[in-house]
Parts: sequence; C-alpha cells; structure tokens
Amino acid sequence: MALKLTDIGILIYVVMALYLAAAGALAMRKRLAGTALFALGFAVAAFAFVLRWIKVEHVPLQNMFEVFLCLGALMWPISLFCRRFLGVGGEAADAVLGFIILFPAGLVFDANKENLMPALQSPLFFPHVFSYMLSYVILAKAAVPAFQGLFLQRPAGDLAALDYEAAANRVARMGFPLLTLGLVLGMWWGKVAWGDYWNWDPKELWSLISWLVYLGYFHFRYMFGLRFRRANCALLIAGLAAIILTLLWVNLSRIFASGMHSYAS
Amino acid sequence: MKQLRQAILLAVLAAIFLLMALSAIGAVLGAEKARELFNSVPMIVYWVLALLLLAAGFASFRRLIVAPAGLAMHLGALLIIGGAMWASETAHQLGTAWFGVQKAQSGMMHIAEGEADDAIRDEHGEPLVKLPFSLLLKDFRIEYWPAKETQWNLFVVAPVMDSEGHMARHQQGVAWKPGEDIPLPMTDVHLKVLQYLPHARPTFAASAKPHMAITDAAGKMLGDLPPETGAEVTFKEPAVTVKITRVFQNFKIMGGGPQRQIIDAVGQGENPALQVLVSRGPETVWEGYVFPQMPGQVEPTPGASPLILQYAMPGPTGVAEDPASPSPAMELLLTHGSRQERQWLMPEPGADMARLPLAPLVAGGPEAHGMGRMMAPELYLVQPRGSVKSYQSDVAIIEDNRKVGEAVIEVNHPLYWGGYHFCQADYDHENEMYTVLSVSSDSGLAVVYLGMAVLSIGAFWRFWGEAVWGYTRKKMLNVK
Repeated sequence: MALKLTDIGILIYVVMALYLAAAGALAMRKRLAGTALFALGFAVAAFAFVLRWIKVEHVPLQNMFEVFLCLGALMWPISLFCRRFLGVGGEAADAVLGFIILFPAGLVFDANKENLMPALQSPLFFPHVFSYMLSYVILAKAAVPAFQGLFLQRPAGDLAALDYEAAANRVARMGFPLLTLGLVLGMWWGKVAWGDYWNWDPKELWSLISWLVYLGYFHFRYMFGLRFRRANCALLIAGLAAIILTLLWVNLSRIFASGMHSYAS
Repeated sequence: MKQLRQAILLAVLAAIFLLMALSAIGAVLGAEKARELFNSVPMIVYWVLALLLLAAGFASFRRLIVAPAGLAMHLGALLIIGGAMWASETAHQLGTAWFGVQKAQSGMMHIAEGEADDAIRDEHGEPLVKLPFSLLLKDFRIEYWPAKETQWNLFVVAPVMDSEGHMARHQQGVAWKPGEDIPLPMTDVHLKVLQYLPHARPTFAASAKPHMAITDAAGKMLGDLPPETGAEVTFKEPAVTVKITRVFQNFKIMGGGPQRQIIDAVGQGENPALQVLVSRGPETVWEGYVFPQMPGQVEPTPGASPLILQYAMPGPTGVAEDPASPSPAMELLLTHGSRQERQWLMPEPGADMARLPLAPLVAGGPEAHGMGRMMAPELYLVQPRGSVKSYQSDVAIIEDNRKVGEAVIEVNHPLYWGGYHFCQADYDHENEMYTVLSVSSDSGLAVVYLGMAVLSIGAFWRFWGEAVWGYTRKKMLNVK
C-alpha cells in the first residue's frame, strides 16, 4: 500500500472523497447535493481516465490500475441509467461501491506505464475488455439490492412498488448480455491471436464460472419464479463473488497455476 | 409433459452446476491439466449430454422455438458446443481413424530465416502432418519500443568451454561508469571508459569516404562509385558498364543448397558488401559480391586484363559531438597484460550497435583472418531498447516450387491457408533468426463463429429487446 502522489493519483483520491461525500448526502436524504457530488466525482474520474489515455498512448485498460480506474469511473453513469430507465435506485450504495472499487486503484495497484505488448495490439482489445467493464459494474450494482433482498422483502420507502429481488433482477438482465458479449469476444480474439478459442487457463475458467452462475440464476428463476426469493438473491451475490475472483485472485494469486492471462510479475 | 419439463430444467441446473465445479477444479489444476480434463472421455460424455439436453429443451419447450430470442441463445450454445467438439483433438483423431482425413488439430512450425518447412510438427519437432505446400521465411523482423534509459550498454561476447569440452559463444553484459577500471568477463582484458559522448558522429578526412574503386590489374584508377544502389559507370575500354545493384550492411548467407538465401541482417552485426553487375549492353559479364577484405576480379572478355573492384571503407579519422546524432561514441582504454590500446567505439550511422574485436589486443598482433570468428572475443556497444513492440514473419507460400502466396504474419494477424491458421507464437530470443508459428485447424470454425454471433444477438434481444421496445413504445404513445 502506498500513496500515489502523481497527478492521476491525487485525482483518484479526490474522486474517492467526492463519492464518500455523495453517499453521506444521499443517506441523509439530501438528493440534490448527493447527486451533484456523485456526478462531479464522475467528471473528475473521467478526466483522470482521459489523462491516463494520453499518458500511455493507448486505451488504458491494460493493467489492474487502469481497469479499476475505469470501473470506478463507470459507477455514476450506470447508477443514473438504472434510476432513469429501469426504475431502480440505491444511489448511496452505488457511491460507496465506487469508493470501494477505487480504493485498490488509489492505494494498491502499480500505476507504472507499460508499453502495449504485441498480443494486446488488436481492435478486439477495447470491445472485449470494455464489455466486461460495463457488465462488472452493472452486476456489482445488482448485488446491492440482492443483498438487501436476502433480509428484507419491501424497501423502506424508496420506490415502494419495486421489490429488492425484482430490482436486482432488472439490473442483472441489463448486465448479462454484456457479460456474454465479453466472453464471446474473448473467444474470437483467442482464435485470432493464439489459434484457439479457449485455453482452459484460470482466468478463462473463472470468467466461465461467472457466466454460468448468472446462466444458472436465470434458469433457476425461470423454473421456480419467486418461490425462493432468497435463493435468487444469493445466486446474484455468488455471481459477483465469481467476478471478483475472476478479476482479482487469478491475476495476483499463486494458488492458481499460471496461464496465458497471468500478468502478475 | 409438465413433469418432463421440470426434469429437463433440473437436469439443466445440475449440468450448469457441474460445469461450474469442474471449472473451479480446472482453475486450480492449471491450463494444461485443465485442457486434459475437459477433453477426457467422461467430459466427452458430458458434452454430448449437454447437446442432448439442449435438443430436449427445443422439443419440450415451445417457447424456445417460437420466441426468436430464446431460440437464438439456445441454438447459439448448441452451435458453439457442437462446433468446438468438431474442432477438438479427439474429433481430428477420429477423423483420421475413421475417414482417413490427414489433418492435425494443432501443432507448430519452427522456421529459420531463409529456410522453408512443409510439415506441422509437435513440440519435439517431429512431423504430425505433411502440408501440400511449404512456408518459406523470407525475413523475420522485430520492432522494439524505445527504452527508458538512453545510455548504451556494453557486452562481451567470447568463446567459453563448457564442462563437456564444447566451445560456445557466450554473451555477458558489463556495467560501466566513466573513469572506472572494469575487468571484462571471460577475458583478461581491462577496460576504462575515458569518454562517453551520447551524441556523436565520426569525422572523416575529406577524401576518405567509403567508395568502390575500379582499377586495372596494375592498380591504375579507372573509376569510382559511391556505395549506393544504382550507381553505375560505363567505360569505353573495356566496353562494359559496372553497376552497384545492392548495398549490404551485414551480408549473410542463410541455409544451403537450392534453398540458399542471401540476406542483409541489418542491425545484427557488420559485414559490409556490394552486389555488383558488370554488363556489356544486355549481356551479363559478371555478377557477384565485393567485400572490403575481398576485392572482385572481373575479366571483361575471356583472357583480357582483369578489372579489380575494391570496396574501400576508410575508417573515421576522428569523432565530433553532434546533438543531432542518435549514436554515441565511446573512447576506451583497453589493457591486456603489458599492452595498452586507446580505441574509439562508435556505431555506423543508423546502426544500433558497434563492434570492437579484441583479438588484436589479446593475440598480440593485427587481426588474424585465420582466427575464426568463433574464437575471438569481442566487445559490443549496444543501444538500449524497450520491450518488444511487434514481431513479424515475412513468409512466402511455395507449392511445386512456385510462389503461390505471401503474407506477413504477426500476433493478431495470422495467415489463413490450406485449412489452417498460422499464428505468430514465439521466436528465437537469442539471435532473432528463427520464428515459431503455432498452427491450428479450421475445422468447425464457421459453426463456432456462427454460434457466437447467434448467442450474443440472442442475449441482447432477450434481455434488452423487450425493455428497449417497451420503453420506446411508452415514449411513442406518450404514456407515463
């Protein structure tokens, strides 16, 4: 853990502070202030992302630092979209999520500039990774009402018509096609770059497990409907756990044997 | 019927859970063992059952056939699993055993510059399948990102005897600082850097520029050509035209026999040469190569007095600082026993390294031509470079001794030919003289790609389609 006293590092700390302030304001029902702080946090995060893009001279999605910066920046747009088009709220929790996501980017991951290796020089690099970025943020957001749905059935006031389990379902439905697209683009890219759609390496296997959890969730919900609400919610949380494992553990751990995707040095 | 549907759905949930568990196990096992696991016979049974489950789903759930989005997703999954099974190692082996199809599922090719290969091989180099064509590696190129440091690095290359009595050339880097006495590894030579000019150029006496001198047998100067492609001069007596057709910085012969290739391995050493054509009108009198240490002798007509072609490369007479030059210059004091020598080490303009043979110092005399390159220690000043930016194999496809195609293969740009994809996989890291291509079969390719497209489109249609359509309709009807 180390402080990043660079331009982008300081911007990330500013965003983290803004997200926390937004979460606090929203929790105290100060909607206007909370939304403004959250939106401002996004603006600063987007600016940091663009700065990084200029600095490294390629799409900044190559290492863990850049990936987590992108994820943290996407939090507000996704939150806004869910409110406006899906009728799903919970912006305070989203701001907290954004803070949590930016924590490792601001204090843990190495931000050294790396040149783009030949394998990553492909037009499929951006679509593959960015689909996953969007889906991860969306499915992380889905886990929040899912978590609440484990313990409660009706929300405490906000959008009373919408059940936690139903809210989580709506958000999950938004994220799943993007998760599928990320998986499929990865297979296409693998064939073009390495000659094989699939290498059975740990990262791919955990990304497959993540996809299968959500696939299982939708089939389970199709079969049992709302009879086992808590199980539905638990599956969405398991899905997020699999995503976190796909992202973090596999890149950094030595428990899982290395494969084509291990960028851990 | 309802019970059948329940049973199928339960089986689906069990199958998904089983695949998840196996994948988790596979992640712990690592890529190679996981691949074996998922291609093993029990797993083949699983995949077949998965296909049957999907088929059963279509048979029992009318919605899966009637609603296009659901159909697309499930059909996509079926196509992907089916296509991947068709592309698998097992399927290829069955294809060979049952139908006699000679096709490898995957393999590699290991080709040196100037050489060709016509077989897909395993990791030991043993041929798996012979191809009806061969790939000739015309050139292998690596491009590097610029390095973060700017100071050039010193390396010693010297022959070292290993424990079995074999001599091999070893390379070792030498850390240096100006003014410091540095013992060079693998030799008895000591080195001191007297001066390091990061940006310098050689200065030549005005008359001393590289050129090809054309003289007669007695040494009388007949003509002079600058070392440039296309430079030519025509004489009246003898009535011939002498033309330089190619200039080499590092002349190298690769391979042997009919596949012999002459290449210019720029940046990997210095062996200057000129390719010269002597002609009388349209008729070729002589075509060959002229080296600084080996002049060319041409008889313009049989029995006539020969012309001597001499590639003269006068050395620089000094060094000057030049901020515009990307090349440095290093003044060295070399000591061996009681012998001492001051030398300038400077790369040719545009070259990324400079070479100083240590043989004269070590052997105690002028560079002995007899002492093979293998035996002589050398000092190299090498430009620092960043990580690999790209590496490319420039190949020609040869069928029946005719070139039927060509391609530049690099990562993310494979060659697709003859039912295989040839991908740039690796290369010779020491000398950058050969390429490693990974080869994979295209069986089932179209099915898998179609499945992937159908699955993705189905997913967006199914989960976003209704919501987007419903929202648009609401807006259009202005209903809140």
